[in-house]
Order: sequence, then C-alpha cells, then structure tokens
Amino acid sequence: MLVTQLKIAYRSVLRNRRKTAVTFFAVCFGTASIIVAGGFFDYMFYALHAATVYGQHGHIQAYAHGFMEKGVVSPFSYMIEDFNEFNSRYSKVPHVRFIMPRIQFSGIISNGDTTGSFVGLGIDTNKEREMSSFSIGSGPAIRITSGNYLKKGDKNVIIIGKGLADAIGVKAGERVTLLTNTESGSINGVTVEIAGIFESFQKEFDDRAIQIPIETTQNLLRIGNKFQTAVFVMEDSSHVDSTVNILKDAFAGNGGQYEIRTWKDLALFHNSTVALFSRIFFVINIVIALVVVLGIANSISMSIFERTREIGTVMAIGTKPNQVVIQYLLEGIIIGLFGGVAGILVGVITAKIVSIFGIPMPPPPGGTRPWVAKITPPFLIYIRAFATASLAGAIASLYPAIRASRLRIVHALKQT
Amino acid sequence: MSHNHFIEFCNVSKDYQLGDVIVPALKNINLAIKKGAFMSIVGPSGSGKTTLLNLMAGLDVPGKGEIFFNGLSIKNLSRSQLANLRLKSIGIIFQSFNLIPVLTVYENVEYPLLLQNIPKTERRQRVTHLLEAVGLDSRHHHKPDELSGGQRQRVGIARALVTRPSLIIADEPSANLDSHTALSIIDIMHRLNKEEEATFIFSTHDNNIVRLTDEVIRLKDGEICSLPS
Ligand SMILES: Nc1ncnc2c1ncn2[C@@H]1O[C@H](COP(=O)(O)OP(=O)(O)O)[C@@H](O)[C@H]1O
Ligand SMILES: [Mg+2]
Repeated sequence: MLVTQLKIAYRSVLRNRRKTAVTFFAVCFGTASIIVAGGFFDYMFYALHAATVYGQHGHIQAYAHGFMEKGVVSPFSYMIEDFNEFNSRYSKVPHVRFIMPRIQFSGIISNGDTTGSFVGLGIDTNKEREMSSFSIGSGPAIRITSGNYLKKGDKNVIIIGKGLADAIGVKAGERVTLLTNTESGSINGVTVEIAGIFESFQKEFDDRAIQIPIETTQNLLRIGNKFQTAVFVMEDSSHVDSTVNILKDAFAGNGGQYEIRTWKDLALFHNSTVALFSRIFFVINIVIALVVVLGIANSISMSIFERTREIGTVMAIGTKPNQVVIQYLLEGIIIGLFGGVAGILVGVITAKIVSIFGIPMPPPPGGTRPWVAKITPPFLIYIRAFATASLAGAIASLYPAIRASRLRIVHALKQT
Repeated sequence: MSHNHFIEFCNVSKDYQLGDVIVPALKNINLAIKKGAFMSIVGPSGSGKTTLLNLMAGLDVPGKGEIFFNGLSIKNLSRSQLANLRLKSIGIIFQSFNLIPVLTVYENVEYPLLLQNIPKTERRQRVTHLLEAVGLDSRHHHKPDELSGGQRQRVGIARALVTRPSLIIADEPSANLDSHTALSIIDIMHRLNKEEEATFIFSTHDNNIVRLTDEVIRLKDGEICSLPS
C-alpha cells in the first residue's frame, strides 16, 4: 500500500508541474540559503578564530602562578625565571609547534617635544612573525603601514601603533625615548629607532601600542632573562584541550609554579561575536524554515483543494482517514526532499563560485582593515539544511492532510 | 423483529439543511433487497436517488430510521468501521468514473486490493481477470486520460468488482456516456451480475436502461411510488 501511496504522491507532484515548480523553487532556494548563510558564518568564525589565535593570543598562554590575579598590580613579582629553560622543557609536548616569550609593560614615550604614554609588548620578532603567517583568514593582527617590521637581531628598535605615532608626531626612521620603571623601582630609559608604523584590527589598541624586541625589553626593565607570558603555538586548534590537560599535569608535577589560559579564555570579543552571529544564523534558519513551511503548506492545500473528489473517491472505496493523512504527508515530504536535494546542489555551487571571487568585507567592529570572506559550509550545515527542508515538508503538510482526511465523503464526491 | 434480508431500510428519512430551510430528501423509506438483484432506481432529478444510494453504500448516515446490511444495523458504525464495510462488501461505480488520474488502468483496479493487503500474485490474477471481463486486457498500462469515457467506466466497474463485493452501488453510471456506450456498460454490469454473483443497484433516468433491469424502484419527491413487483 505504501508503495502505491508513494507512487500516487510522486506522480501527483510531477503532474502539477507548474504549480509544484514554484514551491519546489521556494524549498530549493530556502535550502540553498541556509547552506550559503551557514557557509558564510562558518568562514567568518574561522577567520575570526584565525585572527584571534594567530594574530593575537596563540593557542595557550602560561604565566607564573598568581599572575592572572595580581599581575596587573605588580608585574615584576610574577615573572617566569628563564625562557630557555622553560622552552626546552615544554616545547616537546605533542602538537606544540613552538613557544615564544612576551612581556607587557607600560611607560612614557617622547620625541623631545611631545610625550605620551604607551603599552609596550616585548616580543620574539621571528616567532611572532611566524605565528602570524598561519593566520589565513584575515592576515596577521598587525599590518605595517610605513617602514618595516622588526628584524631578527634588531636592538633598540620599535614598531609603533599608527594612532600613537600620529599623537606624538613621529614617522618611521625617527628616534624616540622610552621611559619606564624597572624591577627595582628605579626609572630607566632607552632611545630607540622607529622601524615601522602598524595598524591592527582595533583602533584603541593602535592608539597606545608599541612592540619591542624582547632582549631590548629585558634590558630596559633590567630583568635579565625573565619573561611574563609563554605563548604556545600549536599545530592546529583541535589539540588545545588535550594539551592544556597535559600541561596542567606537568605544571602540577613542578610544584604548581605556572598557570594557564587558552585562547578562548582570552578572546572575549571572539566569543561574544560568535555567540551573536550564531544567534543571528539561528534566526535566519527559522525564518527560512517558516517560508519553506508556508510554501509547502500552500502547495499541499491547493493540491488537496483541486483533488477533493479524488479524496472522496478513495475514501468511498475504503481508504481509511489515517491513510489519507499519510498520502498527503508523503506529498509534502517528497516536495521537501526534492527541493532539499536541489537546494544542496545549488548551495554547493553558489558557495564554490562566490568563494572564487570572495566577498569584500568592511573592517570588523573597532577594526581598521577590510577583509575578504569566503563561503565554506561545514558538513553539518548540509545536514541541517536538508533536515529543515524535509521536516518542513512533513510539518507543512500535516494540517492540510488531516483536514483532507476529515472531509465528508458525500460532499467531497460532489466537487468537480 | 428479525432482519434477514440482504439490505433493508426501515423508516429511513434524510433531510438536508440549506441555510434556514430544511430540505427533505428522503421521507420514511421502507424497502428490502434480495441478494443477487439487478435493480434500477429511477426518478426525476432531485427525487432522492443519490441520497438513497449514498445511504445504501454507507457513505452517509440517515437522519431517522435504520439500515440493515446482511441483517446487521449499520447505525452505530464509526467512520473507520464504515470504511471497512465498504472495502470488504461494497463496490461503488461513479457517474464521472472517478479514477485516480496518476495511476494506470491496472493500478487503479489494483488499488482496493492493496487496501485489503491481498498478496501480489492474487492481486495480479484478480485484476487481470476483471480487466479481461470488461474487455480492457490490452490497456493495462494506459492512464485514464488516454481512454474514452466508456473505457474509463469499464475500469470503474472492474475496480468496483475486484474485491468481490456482495453489493455494487452505481449512481447514474451511464449518465456521462452516449446512449450506445451506456447500453454496453449496462450489458457488462448485467453479465457480471450473473458471473460474479454480485447484487447491482444503480440509478438512471434512461428508460432504455430501466427495461434491462429485473427490478425497479421509482422515487418521487423522496418517496417510493412503486415497490419492485
Ligand atoms: N448537500 C445537500 N444540501 C442540501 N440539499 C441537498 C443536498 N443534497 C441533495 N439535496 C436535496 O435533496 C433532494 C434530493 O437530492 P438527490 O438525492 O441528489 O436527488 P437525485 O439524485 O434524484 O437528483 C434534492 O431536493 C436536493 O436538492
Ligand atoms: Mg443524483
């Protein structure tokens, strides 16, 4: 019986070709939209993740115990003693690509005429550059707008955020003096050359930031080989959680000298953005599902209206009401399935074509640089889109189908 | 009181509500029909023929009175039970044929057997037999819209008989056919009445057809004028 009901459903759908076509395209378009929108958001998340990890935080950061809580107040009390020792001990952990040191500090910057305050980041220039080269989505977090990046072996050289450079009126190639407190509480200064001027995603950051080779920083602060943050760069993001566990165990075995944060703990902007866009995508998904449901419901209702006498006939012959419900549910599901399959094809092709050209995107909130988005639907989106279409088919036809099964036979038979 | 007729109507009335007006379609009908009858119901348009046949077929329920099928009242049967009764015991032939347009001739005739869960080989046997009996053995794979009116009605007859019902109801089965085709359709029905031992009750207002039937019920304004002799 079900085979024959499928036959009737399938052939009836094909028979009303022109009317079905409209619904079919609505379902197809809806499914494709979910895939394209999903693929777009997926790429945004990916780009955002890459920018966050490879442009800023690395995958995992470790600090001396207590730093997270009290590091801001007394940075010198929470330093890791020796980078080389730390590095040789932990860079062998599986899936760790490399570890690099950072020191954040603040001070006063002056070109003799104008003075401003800065937030400095002491870095291993080569490793920072290597890390940012993995950021495929949107490039490194900072971009040199004039002059050069720091080179290996540079001493007494900095790069400076565009906002800060403008504020104190300096250009690449000029010299400035940095003043800061040392570990012992005295004041130390150094005259440095500006190698280049950079822009990052965030203007507030560029208004205060400078980057300095780590050796110069250690000399300025008079802290020898100490450093503040160990940035772990992994082979990819999938091993972060397992590696965190390995490191925690290792650190605990070492008397708990160190504490840990992952890029997710640090990337509040990333997290809230992902949460926001996930919600937006969910709403888009619901709206599309509604449109698809209404389209199919309309199509099935019309089909039932036009075939009232057929319904009267099959019920007169002895078809049970629940079998009538199944008959029209099948019709809705068939439209949903066919539209869903076609929609997946259209979605895949659209995603491929759009990705070849790319979508020019404006700078992110607070950012400074435009970027290019692609459409990369993950496998789950296909399942989600297909499920939406076929489920919509079933849901949409349920009410019309039940109504059909409640038709009074003698009335239905009178319809022409 | 015992009800040992094949079909029995006891004081059956049926009204329709048309806005505020109540239209009496059948008034206090009493009748009894024997098994194997080949009977026509005649009467002018609006006399209640369709209403009477719908009640007999279990498609509608009477306002007053009771209908017995094989001695059993069908008064309190549910929709689903009535559907079962029709499926097992009643074949219906429609004035406008009412074939399922997307199914082939063969599939249309097979449809009621699928509802009954008859196994495939038996289905094939019965469908082939009936399509042969109505002279359509070469048309198995045609769609209804590829057939003439007379051919469609023959498919309709085959579909009504394929479940071997004891009662066949046909409301003006030849009204949509030319007079020559109409007669040949009634001929086929008459032959199957004998061969398949099924009771045929159909309405018509064609006197040429009435003459071919064994018994006649004449209706006028919802009342029976003359019972079968
Ligand atoms: N659904 C209905 N609503 C209102 N009146 C109806 C309905 N069906 C039939 N009638 C009326 O009942 C009477 C009998 O109708 P019907 O049984 O169709 O007669 P026939 O089949 O002999 O033409 C007519 O007066 C008709 O107008
Ligand atoms: Mg009538």
